[in-house]
Amino acid sequence: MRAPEEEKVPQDDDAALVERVARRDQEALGELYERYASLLLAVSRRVLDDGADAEEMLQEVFLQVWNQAARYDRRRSSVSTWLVLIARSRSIDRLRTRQVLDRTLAGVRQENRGAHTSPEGAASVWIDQRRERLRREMRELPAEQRQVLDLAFFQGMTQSEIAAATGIPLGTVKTRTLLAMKKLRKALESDLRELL
Amino acid sequence: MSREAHREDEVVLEIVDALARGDAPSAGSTLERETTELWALLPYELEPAPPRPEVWEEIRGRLASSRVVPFPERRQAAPPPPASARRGGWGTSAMAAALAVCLLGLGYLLAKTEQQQTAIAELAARLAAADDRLAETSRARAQLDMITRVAQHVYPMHSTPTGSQRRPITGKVFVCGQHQQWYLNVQGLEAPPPGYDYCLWFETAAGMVLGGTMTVRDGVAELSAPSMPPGTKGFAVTLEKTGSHREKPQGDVLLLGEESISL
Repeated sequence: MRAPEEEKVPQDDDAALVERVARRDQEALGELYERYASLLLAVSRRVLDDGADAEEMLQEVFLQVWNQAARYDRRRSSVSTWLVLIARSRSIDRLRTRQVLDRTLAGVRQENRGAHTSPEGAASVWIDQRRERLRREMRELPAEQRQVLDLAFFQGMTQSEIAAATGIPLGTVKTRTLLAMKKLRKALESDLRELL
Repeated sequence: MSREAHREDEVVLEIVDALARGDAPSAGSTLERETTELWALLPYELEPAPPRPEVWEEIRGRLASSRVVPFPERRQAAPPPPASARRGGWGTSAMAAALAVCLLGLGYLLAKTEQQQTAIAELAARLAAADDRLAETSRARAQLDMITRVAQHVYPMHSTPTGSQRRPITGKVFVCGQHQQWYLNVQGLEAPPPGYDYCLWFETAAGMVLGGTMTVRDGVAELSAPSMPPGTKGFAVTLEKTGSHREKPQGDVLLLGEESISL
């Protein structure tokens, strides 16, 4: 029996959409939103651990895309990577600002974890497929290797900061990071080829 | 592990650190691009979080409120001419005059718009150039971070009594064990007198070997290279005449570093 063909990642479409956004095409922004909002909101929620904050962040991300689409450079990254980096970076900035505020307010912050009414997802098939592959590979990673990737990606910590925070020797942090990156690079070769 | 593979690993770690800090990716090597793309695949593991429909509506609302009204819309929104101007006789002349004024105004506005578009394009180009410079600086910083982190020895340098500097100066040479890659950082240096340069020398069994000439910026001088002469056992910074023979130090010795600290 023939395996179902995987849907190809629409990289060219993505770049074309960004070009249209640069020309002030709101429909193109809407299309990017349909494709990536669920992923980007997941990133913000994971970093900020707060649904309301994360949704506000999502708005900021798409406003930034609207205003800076002309600056997207396809030599530097694919569109999906560009969007993920913006969402992650802004969320970590927000997290740090919030941490400063929290310290200043001495813990009077009120948790705002309002129930997230989740409508039907608009994720494409290829995003689901990529998610499945990533999950499978992440499950294969030893917990200590996942830990260093988690701290680096979602907490914005450098290897020295991870070593200082966890008490793990810096050399070990580097080795774990490298092993994890190498395994994922090998396992996700086809995804990377599509993105390059 | 081959030296090349080891270097590649170091580069991957530098890139991961730069990405963790939130530095923008640069249009660099394939390895850099691959690592960046791989890094951005990590969140695909997360459960997707579809936003509420209101979120998109709010985004659209914010886009609309920040939108610059294009010229044709402003023209349509202009108030109609007064009723008196539409009545015959001198009214026709007044209308013609008003039309002429409008045309002149239109020409002026078009020219102004073009000027503004040019200015915006210029600013965007400057912003992109500044971004590139920032990315370049980040890469340089990551490189220095790497050197100072993987350094196995530090040679603290101390001022010599003959040093002619008015301010105290301090220096450190960081040396990586495996490649003998080194990085020198000197603080508190004044700009050299006209016609003179600061030089770094390596002290080896075969004599003094010139390591390079330093440029002082805001009291700080830096120098680095991927290797050093074999058997180096000390360092010196001297003030030499520009263009003098650089086979051995001849000028004032300002800094010396002989005893290394193993890290």
